[in-house]
Amino acid sequence: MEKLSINNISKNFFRTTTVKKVDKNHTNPFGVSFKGNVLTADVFETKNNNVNLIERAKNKSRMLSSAVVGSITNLSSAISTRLNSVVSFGNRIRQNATDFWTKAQQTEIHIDMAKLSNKITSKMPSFTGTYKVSNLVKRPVSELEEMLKAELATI
Amino acid sequence: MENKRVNSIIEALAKHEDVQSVNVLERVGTNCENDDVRRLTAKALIKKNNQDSLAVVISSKGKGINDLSTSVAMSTINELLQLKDKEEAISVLENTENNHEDDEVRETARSVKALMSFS
Repeated sequence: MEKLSINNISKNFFRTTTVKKVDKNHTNPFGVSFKGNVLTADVFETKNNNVNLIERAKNKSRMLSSAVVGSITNLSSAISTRLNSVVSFGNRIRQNATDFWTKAQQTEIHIDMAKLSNKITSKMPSFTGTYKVSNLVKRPVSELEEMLKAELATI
Repeated sequence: MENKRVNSIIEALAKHEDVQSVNVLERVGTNCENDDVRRLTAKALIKKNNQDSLAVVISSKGKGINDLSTSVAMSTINELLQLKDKEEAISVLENTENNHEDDEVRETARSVKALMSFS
């Protein structure tokens, strides 16, 4: 059992305990963050391993290309999503246009020319003053009777 | 009345000085099956305001104040009440009340006369 003496007491005995923070270094070997899918590769190779420069360059290019491919994949999916919405919008417009055309083909425009001409002619005497009361009063009663009978026949 | 021509002709007959205009209005207008035409005709006859024209709307069964259509009868009574000179109308109403053979016509004339005396 260890003897306890004053000398053995550490100078740091009354100090509060300090916790040394150990920063975990998650290093990205390229210093660049990629959103794309990165292919797994052993990036923590020690320098002691005798890997030639050509092999390291290969690994590097492989990772870069994978990142680029991942980004392109995401980009293409976004583009395809937008394209799909555009295509569906176009299809809807086309459908509406088709429906309108079908309706237009089924609609029959009919103008009653007889009624129209009757209305026009009925307006004409008012311009000439034939049916103005002041003019009608000057006519004989028998004529007014015939006119009234004719008008009542049209009601 | 939608037909302006009919309106104009009836109004012209109302203003016409020929006594035959009353006969035309009675013959054509009061016998028309259209309520609006009958109403306009009664109005034209009251506008004339003479014994013959008022007799048509007061003493004739089924015409004027005795019309089967309530709207036509009420419209005719209203026109009579609005007359400025009611003397001729009251005279015709009294004759109808005293001398007409139909009880219903007599009763109607009595009621309208009472209304006119109050107006």
